[in-house]
Amino acid sequence: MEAIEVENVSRYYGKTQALEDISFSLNDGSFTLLLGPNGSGKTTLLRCMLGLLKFEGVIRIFGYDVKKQGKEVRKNVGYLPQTVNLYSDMTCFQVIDFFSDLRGIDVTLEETLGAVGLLDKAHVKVGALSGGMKQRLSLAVALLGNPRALLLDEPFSNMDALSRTETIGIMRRLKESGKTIIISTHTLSGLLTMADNVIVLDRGKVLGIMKSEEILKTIPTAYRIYIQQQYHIIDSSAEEISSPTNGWTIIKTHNLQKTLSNLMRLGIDMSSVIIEEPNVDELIMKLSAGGV
Amino acid sequence: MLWPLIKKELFDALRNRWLILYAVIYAILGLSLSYFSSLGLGYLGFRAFGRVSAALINMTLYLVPLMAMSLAGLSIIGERERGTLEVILSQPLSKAEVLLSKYIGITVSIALATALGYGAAAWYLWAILSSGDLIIYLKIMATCILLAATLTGLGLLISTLSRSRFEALGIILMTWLFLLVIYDLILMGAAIGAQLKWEQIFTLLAINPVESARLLMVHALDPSLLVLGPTSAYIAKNIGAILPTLLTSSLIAWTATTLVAALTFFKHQDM
Repeated sequence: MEAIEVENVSRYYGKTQALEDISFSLNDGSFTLLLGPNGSGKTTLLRCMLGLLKFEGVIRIFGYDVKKQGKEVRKNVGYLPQTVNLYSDMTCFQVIDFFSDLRGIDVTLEETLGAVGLLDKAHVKVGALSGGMKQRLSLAVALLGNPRALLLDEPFSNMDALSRTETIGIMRRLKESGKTIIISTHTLSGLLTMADNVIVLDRGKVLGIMKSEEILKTIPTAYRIYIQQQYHIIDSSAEEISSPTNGWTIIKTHNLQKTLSNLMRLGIDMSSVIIEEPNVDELIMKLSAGGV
Repeated sequence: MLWPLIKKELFDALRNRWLILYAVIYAILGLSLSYFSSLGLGYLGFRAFGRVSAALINMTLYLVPLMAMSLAGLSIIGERERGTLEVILSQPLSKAEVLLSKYIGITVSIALATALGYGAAAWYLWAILSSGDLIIYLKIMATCILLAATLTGLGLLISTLSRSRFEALGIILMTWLFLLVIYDLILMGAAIGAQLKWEQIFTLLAINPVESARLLMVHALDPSLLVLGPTSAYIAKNIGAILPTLLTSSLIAWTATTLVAALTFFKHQDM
């Protein structure tokens, strides 16, 4: 079943076209990355999908027309905005209480703040939280009412590495629970392996809609693995292996799992390995040049 | 779904230091009124009551429009600038519900602050003044709340049309100055220059919500309107019986028109 249908959507800011004739559809329970550089139209598209911005074209979410049945759409969709804008003079508990009241639902702090690891911050004011904590509180608000779909706009933008890893874990659980999820991002880090679809946007246009495997094939250099190793490594799964420089060897590969297991077999100390995920800019340049 | 938003508006407004100051001023004025009224008996007592009531009316006409328009005028644009409007509008609510909740929340909070001042005085006056004076007092308070309700609608319209809080504040101050001072000057000039008839003067008075409220309050105190001059007295003589109905209708029409206009603009705007 199609959960999200976007048909010929365009949006202008004055004379500037922010979205140009965008069309795609996503299945119920799918996990989609909306990928593109800053200013590519990701936030505008997500806002149109919620009915927050006017647009030309048609968007249907779970069969509800966004323009005509906005309330029904928003009942079924949780939204995490790019910039966290919750009332800074409220405590986390008051925020949850207020937004659950707005949705007309009863919730416990365990199931809301607990789910995003903020239970111990229940009585702390929003203004006193770190950027990452505010982002997680905002995620807790987006999850209120157990919505069928989630639109998450740059959910990792204010997070440190630990918060990011924890939040990716939350995303994984949400995907397993069957929610339809769209995450807008300008990096792929940690998300590509979870994604069913990747929609690549640039300057308001869809450059491509692909499966994650296709992305890895498209990007000329996919994963980079940095290893503190003094001697040459031979690995058939790698595309390129640099000579050791300053004690570091760099391996470029598309097949991350196979290369990592090969390295483990070679007895490489995995605790010193650094993995750099595919570079979105390379993908966009390739797609813009008509390389797919 | 209106109640949680109304509750939040009330909570925010009642913590607003300007609203608290407004309530304190009203309480002081209300208690002064009771004190001065209770000083004298008979003729002296009535004179004191009338004088302090007139002071109260003047204060109301300056404070209530400023309070109502600034609380309402900064509400939508304030939330828009802070980004909280995006989060609110991403909830299963219609824009009409959001606007109406703000309207009710702000109006009720001003009404509560006003009632606090008037109520303190009414409690003090209870055993001293006649039931007639208390009715006058309640009429003035009701008009004050109706004026707040009217200008909250106008404030929300300003808020939806403004592009920044700074711009909203500028429009609020200009509107306040226009309704209270400039309009009067224009009206006086037109009345003399164009030799307006009393019906025309009354119409021009009635279409300004502040003037409508002024006439209503003074009419409650002195139905002859002599205190406002010969033209007002002539108006009272001719249409005195229906004057409160006409002026109340004008304020209600203002409220409805500004609210509908605010909602129309709000609905056609992004976020």
